[in-house]
Amino acid sequence: MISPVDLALGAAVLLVAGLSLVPRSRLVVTMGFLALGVLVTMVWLRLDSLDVALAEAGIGTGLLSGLMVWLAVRSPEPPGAGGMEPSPRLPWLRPAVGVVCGAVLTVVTAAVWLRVEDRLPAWGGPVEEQLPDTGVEHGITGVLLAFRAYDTLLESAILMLTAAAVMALSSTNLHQAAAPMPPVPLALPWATRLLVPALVLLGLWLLFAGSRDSGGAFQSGAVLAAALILMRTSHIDLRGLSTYLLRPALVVGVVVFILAGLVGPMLGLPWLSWDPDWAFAAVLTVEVLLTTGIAAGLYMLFLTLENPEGVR
Amino acid sequence: MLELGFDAITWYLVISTAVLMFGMVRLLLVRDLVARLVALDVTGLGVLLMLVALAARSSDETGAQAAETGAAGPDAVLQALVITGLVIAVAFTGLGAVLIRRIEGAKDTEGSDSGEESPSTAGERDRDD
Amino acid sequence: MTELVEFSLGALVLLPLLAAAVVMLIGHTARRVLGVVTAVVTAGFTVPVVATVADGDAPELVLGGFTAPLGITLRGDGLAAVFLAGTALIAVVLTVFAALVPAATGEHLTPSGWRPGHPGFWPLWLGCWAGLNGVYVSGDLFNLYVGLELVGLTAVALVALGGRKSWDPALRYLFIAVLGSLLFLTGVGLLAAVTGTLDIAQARAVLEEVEDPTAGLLALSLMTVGLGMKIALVPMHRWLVPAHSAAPAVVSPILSGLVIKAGLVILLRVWLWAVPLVAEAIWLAWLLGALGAIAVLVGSVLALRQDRLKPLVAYSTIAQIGYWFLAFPLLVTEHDDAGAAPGAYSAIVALAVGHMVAKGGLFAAAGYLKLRFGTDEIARLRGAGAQYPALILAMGACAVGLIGLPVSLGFAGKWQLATAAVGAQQWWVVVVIAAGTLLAAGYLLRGIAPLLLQAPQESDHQLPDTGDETAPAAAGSKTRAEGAGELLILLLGVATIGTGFLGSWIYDLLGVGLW
Repeated sequence: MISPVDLALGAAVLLVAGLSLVPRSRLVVTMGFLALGVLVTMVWLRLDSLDVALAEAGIGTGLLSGLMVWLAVRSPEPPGAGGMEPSPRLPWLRPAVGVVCGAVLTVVTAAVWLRVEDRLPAWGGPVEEQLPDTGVEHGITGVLLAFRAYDTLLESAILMLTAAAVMALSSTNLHQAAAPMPPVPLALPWATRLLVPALVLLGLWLLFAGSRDSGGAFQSGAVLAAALILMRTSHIDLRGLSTYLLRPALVVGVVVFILAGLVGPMLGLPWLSWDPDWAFAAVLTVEVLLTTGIAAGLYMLFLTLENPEGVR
Repeated sequence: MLELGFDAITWYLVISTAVLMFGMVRLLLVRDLVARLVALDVTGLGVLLMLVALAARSSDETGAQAAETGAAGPDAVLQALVITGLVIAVAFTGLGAVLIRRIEGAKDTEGSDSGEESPSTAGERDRDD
Repeated sequence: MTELVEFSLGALVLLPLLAAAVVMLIGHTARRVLGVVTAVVTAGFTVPVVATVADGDAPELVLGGFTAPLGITLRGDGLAAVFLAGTALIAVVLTVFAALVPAATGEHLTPSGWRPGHPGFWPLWLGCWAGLNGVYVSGDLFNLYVGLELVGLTAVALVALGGRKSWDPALRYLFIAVLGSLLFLTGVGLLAAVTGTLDIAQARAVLEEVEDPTAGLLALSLMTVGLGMKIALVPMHRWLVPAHSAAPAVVSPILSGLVIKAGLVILLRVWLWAVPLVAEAIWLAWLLGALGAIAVLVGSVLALRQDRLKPLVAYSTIAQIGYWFLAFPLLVTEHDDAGAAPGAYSAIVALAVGHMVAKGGLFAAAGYLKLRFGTDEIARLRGAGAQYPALILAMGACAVGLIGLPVSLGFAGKWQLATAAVGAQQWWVVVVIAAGTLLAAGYLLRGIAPLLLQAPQESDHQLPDTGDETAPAAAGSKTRAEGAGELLILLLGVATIGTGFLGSWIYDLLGVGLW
């Protein structure tokens, strides 16, 4: 019943997960995580989840692993943290306990999974029925921006507040935006000039395709953030953008989302209702601005990784 | 439905459980901060993998239920939830990464150039100690 | 009226969130003004919800008009109303306090060095409040997860506002908080697989028909462990003390008073609403009860051994958390004998809300003293009471609530818990309550009494070695705003006593929209 491809892919996931958990070197661990991201993307493609695979490729593997590898490269050896050696006396104890606990928990949970009599989601029908009311044709976009728009709103708020948090951990003038970047090979600026327009196009395509096909605000925001990071790394001056545009870009998605949600109560409907007449316009506006916020938030995470003056 | 036996989805469910559990155990046992952050993300990936495998059931089972609803691809709602979870994981990891950078940046210079700090910082530190 | 109530249910979450976004764009002074305005208006929106619940209705808001299982439903039932009201009270007081005493919000880095006060407090705190309200009124399992993450992220970031010393505790908190919510999410996934829905009420209906309880039990265990981490139940409590004591003065009361309650509310939602297990989960309930008893005793003893004020108050939080779990075995004896469960449920809520008010006040007072004197070592704070009579009065009133003396909500809760325990013939619960009460009296006396003693030398507690503007000001030089801030803390002390009269009202309120 199970194909060899799935068997091999699953085994590879386990192996690479081990690679990103066990080794002592920070660089190896983060590289392992990057590889795990690629493998998981493939699993998701196998499971026909193109949207999730795109999101994982963009946000998870692309930005997240990039962030981690960057972190590992910038601070390879933790000063005074004593590496990863947990206990000097019984060095085998912790790993052994870990393996045993992990194995027991896995067996117990998997056993439950295997005997669970599961039932298909009850929302399958309603999604199909009510999708036309939202003005979008792609199910996942419909769920994200209409059916469960409230979750998406809170989630964008989480990203916005993460940006607020890392800004709070920086100097007030966000001086990292002006800090010099490490030198890069000469080829990179050239590559950037070629890549950035392509990335921007890809981002916009993902954004506008989202209403009909796979893609959407999150995938698109990740690609646009990647373009910004690439430009910054290859010494292109983004100071004006960082100083004046980044904050408004961060909040505009959440603000407009809430204001659009407020239109419903004004018309006597519940919060976050889109009337079928203008649902598509509302969803598209919100999605475009959310993309801006997501790209700005992800770029901010990258920007603030550099320590400010007083800390360093 | 009980004779799920050993199809691809069950296989991935088991894999995801293993990834989740070992990631969690590693997170609790390891001391290096970056390794903990990676372990945290591996755990998160395990959970999300589990949710996607669940979402795939509706396309995999060509049973009467799926045909009735006419649902073609994997379940849209669960996929949307996974995207949400992914973004949340990135947000937390970003904050964690910045915190690690600050902590180690502060440790780096604890002894060497604390003389350059403004008096208010020095005072703050003395009082906290 | 219905429309207003529905609007309020949504606005309770979305208004603070909107303000959190807007506040990121404006200057420091404007942030304080907008923060206070938002706090007052948000508290205003709790009134119609609580009033409706008090009338015996449980209002619902179907977001976007998409009914469950497709959409998300917000529900304002008794549990939500009690926590909304309690949170509104604490939140308004603390917001005004933070606006009056900006130094209480941490310290921020400027190009020329560290400065007292942190403008980053405002978006994070308003976002945190939105998340708290979102958790209280949510009727959807996945939405609970998102709300929990919103609260967790902002809480971690709020801890980190305290400068260098707070980054390490903040990161530890982050690891535990995320792990806890991932376990919760695993449980949600399992429930979704078994029930085919994410709506709490619908999931319960399906689970009641399912014969095999294994999946429900596993989901319940995973969620309980995850939430136990976030609430800091005893073996998982290690993160709490450094995080809560390293946090800035106004953040500690937010964390101890409000943030851990979000975990508790979700735990109650899961145990009492989502997963209707009685017979199968009894061992888990007993385990929680045992851990709760250990928490009460160990937390109190550790609090007794502290010689700094903020860690002492933080350990007292760990002990108080124990009481909530102590009631869990009584919560699930519903079927075999009569009447213990509602009493135990009401006891948990009364104790939690009483703790919310009292700990909010006590932590704010401790943080304020640390701010003024530059230290929270109890020995060096000797005699501080003479200069801050209002503060000492507030701390005394909060101590009354935490010890559980009559008339406070703490007393009402302990009384209900003891009554339920006697009804179920669980005498050990009564013994733990008595021991915990004595120990609480001991550690709070140890923390507060030295403040009232004569100072060894006048001005010895003033910090000798600093001359900068963050140095503790002499008592005479405190600004009028800071004087008003002290009165606000006193208000929390008064509220600790005052809410004691609401015990039976809360009991009635909790009956609305019960599972």
